[in-house]
Amino acid sequence: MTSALPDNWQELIAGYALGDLSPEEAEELQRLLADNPDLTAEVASLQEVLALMPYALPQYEPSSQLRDSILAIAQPNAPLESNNAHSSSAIATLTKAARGDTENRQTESRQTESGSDQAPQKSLRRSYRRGTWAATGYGIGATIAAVALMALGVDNYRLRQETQQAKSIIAALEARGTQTIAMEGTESANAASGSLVVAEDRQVFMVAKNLPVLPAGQVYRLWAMPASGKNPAFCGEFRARTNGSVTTQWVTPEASCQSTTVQMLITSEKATDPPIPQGSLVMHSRI
Amino acid sequence: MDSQSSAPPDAAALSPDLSDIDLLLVLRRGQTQALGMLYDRYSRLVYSLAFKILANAEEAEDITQEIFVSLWQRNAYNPERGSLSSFLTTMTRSRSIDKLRSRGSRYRFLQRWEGITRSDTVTATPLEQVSMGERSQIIRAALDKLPPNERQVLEIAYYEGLSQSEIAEHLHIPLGTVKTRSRQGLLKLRQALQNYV
Repeated sequence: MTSALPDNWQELIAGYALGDLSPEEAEELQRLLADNPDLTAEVASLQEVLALMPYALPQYEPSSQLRDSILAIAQPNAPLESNNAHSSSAIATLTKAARGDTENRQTESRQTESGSDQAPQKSLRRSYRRGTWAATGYGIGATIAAVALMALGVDNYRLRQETQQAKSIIAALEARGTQTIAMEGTESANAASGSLVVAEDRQVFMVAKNLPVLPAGQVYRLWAMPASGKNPAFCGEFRARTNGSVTTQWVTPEASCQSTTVQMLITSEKATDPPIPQGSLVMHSRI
Repeated sequence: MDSQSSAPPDAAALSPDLSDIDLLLVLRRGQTQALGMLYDRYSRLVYSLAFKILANAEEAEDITQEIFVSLWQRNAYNPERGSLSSFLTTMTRSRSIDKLRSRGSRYRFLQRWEGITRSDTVTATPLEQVSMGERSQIIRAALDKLPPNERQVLEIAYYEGLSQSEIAEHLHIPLGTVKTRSRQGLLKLRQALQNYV
């Protein structure tokens, strides 16, 4: 300490930690801290103590779904390594799907059931927040950007992150060479809709809603199917939130994912599987 | 600055025994399993606090999700400003009280968190080196040592998001008494916990 402390110095820092200083006291503390920089450690220590109080509360467990839902959001942005070795059966599945030949496909009932089990709880949390996002109103003319923004349909807690994403999407939409691709759900996910934005720098933005909620351990994977209908390229993977929406971005290592002659396909796959399409087709781009 | 002096562990060595900071370092490198471990360690604390303030399980889960997601985002936590658990409870309290009050109002707590640095070096406090169950016992014992009227005001101020004058009105005591009791209560609590923080 570099100068004599007033009698009430401890009360002042306690009041600061508690947030109950009067304006006069706040000024007094400010002078005190300026003269005695060591006191900031005291302030920090009282804040630390105050922040320990919740340990004394009866401790409750949140629902078991919450952990999955948080970990699903915190997925790494980078997709798995691309793998060119595709199994013939998987290619056949995708090729067939790419032709729009989905009538005879079996509906993935497990996904649908899982979606209806999990969706309501979370979707309740989301609904009242949508307005905030729309109100941020970016001054852009491009209709597609506005659509992308609205489809972001968001959660308050990711607002900052998604603001950043929205800015990236807008930047991508404004840039030369960016493609926007409308995606629609297949039979097994007929309510699903969304858009892909693929920028020249291989940034991929995926925005969609009403995707089936996948069982634990499954992810959505994006593929670029060439006109030949063979050897789809793995463009990355993502998870939907528990309300079935997704707003995510990543950089794909695969150049063919930005080709203008491919059809984009989304399948559900086991997260631990190698990047070879084997699961069921959930969305595809309109041709 | 000698913060975070321990070498970050390998992904292979990822274990629930790692310190908070080590788990965070692993998380920063993209190992999201580390977030699961931090969640397993602190979700009850965060959720119980949010639930105490909001008295609503769904909103408390919402806050819990918000807190852990922000932990995953880079730069959400700086170890030089306090322990992880104090960061988590500070954020949880602030956001829960924000929610408790009208939406859109801002609370001062976060700015305070951002303004203060605890020390030049970051080492785990003794409290951070014991189990969650032991931490609870230690804090409960410390709170039990406070005079009941100081503890009462401190807890109302902490959990109910009331202003000092609202507390005074609520308890029918003068504003000055509210401030004295809560401040004295906090100082005594630190005294009781001096070997742990």
